Amino acid sequence: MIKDYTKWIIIFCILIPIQLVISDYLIIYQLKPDLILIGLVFLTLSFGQIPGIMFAFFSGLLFDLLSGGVVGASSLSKVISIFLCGYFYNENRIEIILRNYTFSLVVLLTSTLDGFIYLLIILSEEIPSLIFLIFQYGVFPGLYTALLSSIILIRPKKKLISS
Amino acid sequence: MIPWLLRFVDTYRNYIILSILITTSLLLLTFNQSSQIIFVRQVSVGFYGVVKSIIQPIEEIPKLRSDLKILQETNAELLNELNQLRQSKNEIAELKSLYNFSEKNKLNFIPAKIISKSFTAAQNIFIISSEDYKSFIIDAPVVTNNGIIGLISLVSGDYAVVRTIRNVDFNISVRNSRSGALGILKWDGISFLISNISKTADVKAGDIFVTSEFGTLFSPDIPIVRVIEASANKGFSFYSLRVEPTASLEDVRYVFVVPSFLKSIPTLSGSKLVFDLSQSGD
Repeated sequence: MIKDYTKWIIIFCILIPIQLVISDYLIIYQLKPDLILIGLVFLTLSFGQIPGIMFAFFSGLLFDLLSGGVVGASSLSKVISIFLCGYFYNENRIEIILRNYTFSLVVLLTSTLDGFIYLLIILSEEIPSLIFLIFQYGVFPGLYTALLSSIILIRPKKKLISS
Repeated sequence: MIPWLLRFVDTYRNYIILSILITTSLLLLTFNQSSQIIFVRQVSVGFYGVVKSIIQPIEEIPKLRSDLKILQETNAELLNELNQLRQSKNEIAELKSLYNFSEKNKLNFIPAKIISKSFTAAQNIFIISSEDYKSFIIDAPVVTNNGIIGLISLVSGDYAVVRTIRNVDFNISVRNSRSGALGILKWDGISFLISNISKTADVKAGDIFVTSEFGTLFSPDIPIVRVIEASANKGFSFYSLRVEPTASLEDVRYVFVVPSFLKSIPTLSGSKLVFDLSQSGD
């Protein structure tokens, strides 16, 4: 188990710089995918709620520190969204969930929720058009992230984690 | 009490950890402007800046590619502009030479512009046009300040067809302007040949051959070819002469049509023509 967590720590240490630097090249119509969230959903559906929210907190915090954003905003939004994502965890059906479109659907829900919570934290002033912002910062990036997460479904048979 | 507490923690550990993490996040958000958090952010952003500066050259590759494309396009445009300027410079020099030529020789010159050139082995044809096209006459010689180009073979409206001296049908009687040696100039499809010049005649490289008095097409004393090499082959009684036209047929763009050079028009008799023979031809 410790070996698996170490592996995931290394994965997130790579994912966070990728999210900071390389994901800029994946921007389409001002929509940016959240690669960290894909990793977090995968981890949560593989190991459960508690490891998921722990990783969500620290990866969000590290992202906030490195990106120069509001410290605590990403960690809070990710902790809440990953906590809810944890309800999709079923230790008897891990491989099935991770190998069909349920995974992408969970990514879509989690990413939309994450974007929405992050938006609520960041926007302190009166919001001019909430519906537009929900779609612009929640649903559309969520859809893009979910679409990108479907790449994981075509991974080879070899397990990324051994639960 | 303790077993109950342990059981409670075990049952609700998810919510307890969630509460701790949310509280921590909210605390971090509250103390976002505190000096410690700002310091940590400064250090982190500094570290990120270092990493970014290492990655930046790689990031700039797509931008450099687009910059390179823009530079290549600009370079092509500038080269094109430079070529046009060079062409304009040559054109001005050519027009200036023609103007000086017309000033030195007070004859009825009709300035014309070559609008098309057709090069084949058998014959070279130019199509010329002029504002004074009404003065175009069949068989009128076409010259530049360097010498003869050809003669008009067809007139149609503003345009005239010029048969250049590079024509297999032409046999032009020529004379060495220095020694007076006579010969026949011919274009064999590849090069110019002067035949019938005896080995005893005085001919050397650099000599200018002009049209002779015995020709039927052109007035005498118009420069036509320059000798590049004169060699006397063993076993032959005649010279083998390598010659080139005094007027470059490839580079010429403007010409003069001189109807008064026609044999039938005696206006030239007695006048001495002054050509510019400093430039080489083909």
